[in-house]
Amino acid sequence: MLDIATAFNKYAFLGSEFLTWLWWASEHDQDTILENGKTVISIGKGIVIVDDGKSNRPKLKISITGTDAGYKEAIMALRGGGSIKEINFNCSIGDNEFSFTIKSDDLSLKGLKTPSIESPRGSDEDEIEGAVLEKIYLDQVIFECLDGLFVHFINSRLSGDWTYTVLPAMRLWINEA
Amino acid sequence: MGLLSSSQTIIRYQVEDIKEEQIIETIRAGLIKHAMPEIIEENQEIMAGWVPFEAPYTPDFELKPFQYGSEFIFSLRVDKKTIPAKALALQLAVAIQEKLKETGRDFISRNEKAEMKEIITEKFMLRQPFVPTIHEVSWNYETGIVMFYSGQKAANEMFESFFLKSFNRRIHRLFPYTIAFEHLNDDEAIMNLTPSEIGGAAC
Repeated sequence: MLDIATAFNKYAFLGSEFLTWLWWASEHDQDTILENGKTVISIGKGIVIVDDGKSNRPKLKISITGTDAGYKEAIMALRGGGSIKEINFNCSIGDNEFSFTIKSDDLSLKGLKTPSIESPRGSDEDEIEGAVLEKIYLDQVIFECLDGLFVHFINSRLSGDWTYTVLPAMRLWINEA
Repeated sequence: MGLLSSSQTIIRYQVEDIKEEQIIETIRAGLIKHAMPEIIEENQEIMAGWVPFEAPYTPDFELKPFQYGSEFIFSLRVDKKTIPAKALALQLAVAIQEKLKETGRDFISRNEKAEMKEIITEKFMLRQPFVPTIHEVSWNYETGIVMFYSGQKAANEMFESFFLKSFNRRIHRLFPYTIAFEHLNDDEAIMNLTPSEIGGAAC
């Protein structure tokens, strides 16, 4: 295994590519998402795209938020060479609804909203334990789903499937949107 | 943004070397040894330590549980004093004026100024109350996955160093490379990956 600090920077592109793939798949390949993440995913209410200004392009950071946000500008930024820094998704796993913003750097989650649980009343230790374990279970469910999708993405990325099927389809999506 | 909040922030870690028969006793000892000190050191700017999830202001791991099912759950409490920058600047300006008047000089050297600032800062430190922040931790001891419920960079750095110090175990943050490695266990394949040109250029 590579040194952690080196790997963090060297393979940062995997996070951005994964989130771009996930957005694309949420619109064009829900079957794969369902099969590997046992979920249905749709883009939520926000996206941040950055362009670090390599290849003489101007540096750029686009943040789009709001429930009525249009994503035309985001697609244009991707077309121009930008990469996704964070993106908000809504996610249904069985009867459970989640929403969260996922960051490309470490695939950490912020603003995670899980299905609501019954809050413990007072200091009854059994009630507290029940609530805590239920909440942690829900947190684990969403990470399990995302890990399943990430592993599928990596396997695809390491195979010819990425180069010959997925990547051309994603490029088409970005250029025609 | 904590464990039971309606909106959570979670950063994940993997504990290295999770197998140990006496793990519960090791964790208990680490939590007690590095628990939040009960005696407040007034001249400190920052104090930190482990506290029970259910009693963050009375850090007693003999009274409150830290094991829930297959999870260890506890919190990192960070108490910090913040000196308002403008109040410090005001007090320093007043002190400089007084010193100039006293000595009849028309300037104060840089060293003198730094010394005065230090004295004023110390006085502020004694007067300012500590403001606590609680960051919850859930550690699944079967998988070795730790969820830290805070996105603050400083809190995460403190957590990482406290964890090593308390439990004598390294943890590494999960991010795309480490997640790929955990699942594929094939470093060579991952190392050969290079950025794809999805839009106008590689990600």
